[in-house]
Amino acid sequence: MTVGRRWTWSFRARVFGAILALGALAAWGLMVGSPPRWPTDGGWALAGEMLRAALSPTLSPEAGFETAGRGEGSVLSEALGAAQRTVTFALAGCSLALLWGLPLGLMASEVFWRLLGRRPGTCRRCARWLSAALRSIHELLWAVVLLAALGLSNGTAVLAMAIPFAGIFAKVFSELLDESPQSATFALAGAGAGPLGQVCWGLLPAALPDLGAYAVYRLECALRSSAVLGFFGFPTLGYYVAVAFENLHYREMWTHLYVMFVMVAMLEVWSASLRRRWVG
Amino acid sequence: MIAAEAGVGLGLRLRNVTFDYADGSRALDGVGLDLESGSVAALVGPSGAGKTTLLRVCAASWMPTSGSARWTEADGREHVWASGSPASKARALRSQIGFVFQNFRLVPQLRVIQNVLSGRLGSMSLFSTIRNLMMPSRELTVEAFELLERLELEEKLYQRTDRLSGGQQQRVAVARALFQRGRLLLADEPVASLDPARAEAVLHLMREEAADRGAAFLASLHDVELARRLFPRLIGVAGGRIAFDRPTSEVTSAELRALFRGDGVAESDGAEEAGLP
Repeated sequence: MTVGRRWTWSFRARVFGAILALGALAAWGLMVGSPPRWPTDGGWALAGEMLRAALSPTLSPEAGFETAGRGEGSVLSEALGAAQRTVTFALAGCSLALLWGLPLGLMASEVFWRLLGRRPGTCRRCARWLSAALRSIHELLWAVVLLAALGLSNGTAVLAMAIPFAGIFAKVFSELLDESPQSATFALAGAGAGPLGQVCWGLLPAALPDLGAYAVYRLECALRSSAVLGFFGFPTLGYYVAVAFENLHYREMWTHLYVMFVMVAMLEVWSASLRRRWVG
Repeated sequence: MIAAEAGVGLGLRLRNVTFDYADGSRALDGVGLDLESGSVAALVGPSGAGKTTLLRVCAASWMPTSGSARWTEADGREHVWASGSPASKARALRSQIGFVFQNFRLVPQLRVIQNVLSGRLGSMSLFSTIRNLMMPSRELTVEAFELLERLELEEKLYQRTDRLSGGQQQRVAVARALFQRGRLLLADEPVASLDPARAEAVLHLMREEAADRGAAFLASLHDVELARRLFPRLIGVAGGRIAFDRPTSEVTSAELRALFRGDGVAESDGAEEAGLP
């Protein structure tokens, strides 16, 4: 360091400063557009009612004209059925995404092309662009598009999740592959192994713990997406939450939310144990 | 038997090889080396002398900056590698060269048997490359088991490799290189993590396996006494040059001391010329 040099902000400090300034400007702009308001008495009452309902979730349908034909305890069976469908949709969407995402991730990585003995050129760029295009549209927007094209079918929900998830898998997998330790893979190359041998015996096994851990995390995201897709009419937990909310059946709504919470918590416990085993 | 047929000129020949790292520092400087089929030699020298670089050039993993290396097979086929040789062309050659890395370079997540089998990927078809990863064939399994038995590791056959101790992993690395059944066996400190008795046993095994196939065997060893006891030929390396290359019985203790003191280089020019056949 040169003594006596004039103090200057580092590039990083300037970028962070600019982001903060822009954030403040954005917040100010939004407040000018619609100033924050204190909740009305009615608003407080409604919020209080909802929160009180959280303490007394119900297993039986709440009274109302639309409860006709729903028996005692049917809320829990509805919630469990919806939970099962939520998991099914999530698993199907995630598996389909993996099926596309892994090959696309390989093609978007640098190490894959080096193992093939080629420069990562146009093919890699295409794979990266494709994965960016797939994931730049959120699964809810894909759902809107696919609903219009295919109608309300199970396949629509699965595709809506699988498309952006494949793009995300491709992006994250390509980075994990490039960062995985590769000295063993190059040892295989040194012993005359071909590209397929190097990928299957060296690259993938070395990266698999990270890829697996990420895929399990992604399953958790898929579970949430799958639930939210219920807002569009798919028979997952989100559907029942939306219906209960619209009918002002807050206690029923909380039952469904609690089931959702338990489901995600169970997956979290399971995935944490897997991660410990794989990544160490 | 192949060793008996092996005439002069078969095997590995290095001529005037230099190797510069990307930063310009010179690791090898005008090295000449002949390693005939079936011959056995140890590389000795202080750390940083260029032993590892020399082995990597011999393995065609690294291409010489100048000079050339040549490998002549029993059927008369020749592979030459020099500056600018494309690494991809060397695949057939590399499947002939077994290499034991100083830091093992095993795939930690694979089982021991898979790491051993991976030594022979160079000669597997696309189908058996996939098949043997999922479910190794019976013949290969038996062969790997017998090899591991000789290395006293047979009970670890299906163990995950990263669950093994350093010494055990080193023996798996040796097993992988032996399983490759190459014509040239190179080893960079192959017994550094083993206790003395086991080190000797493993080196004996490597020599036997190489001799059985008429393969040449070149190993770098930091333990000079071990090298003297087990190897008929010593190649002293210092400062990127060959300081001496002679039958072990002709290498004096004074020479070895000079090699490790760092003044072995001064007499190396003459020794190198004289030492080569």
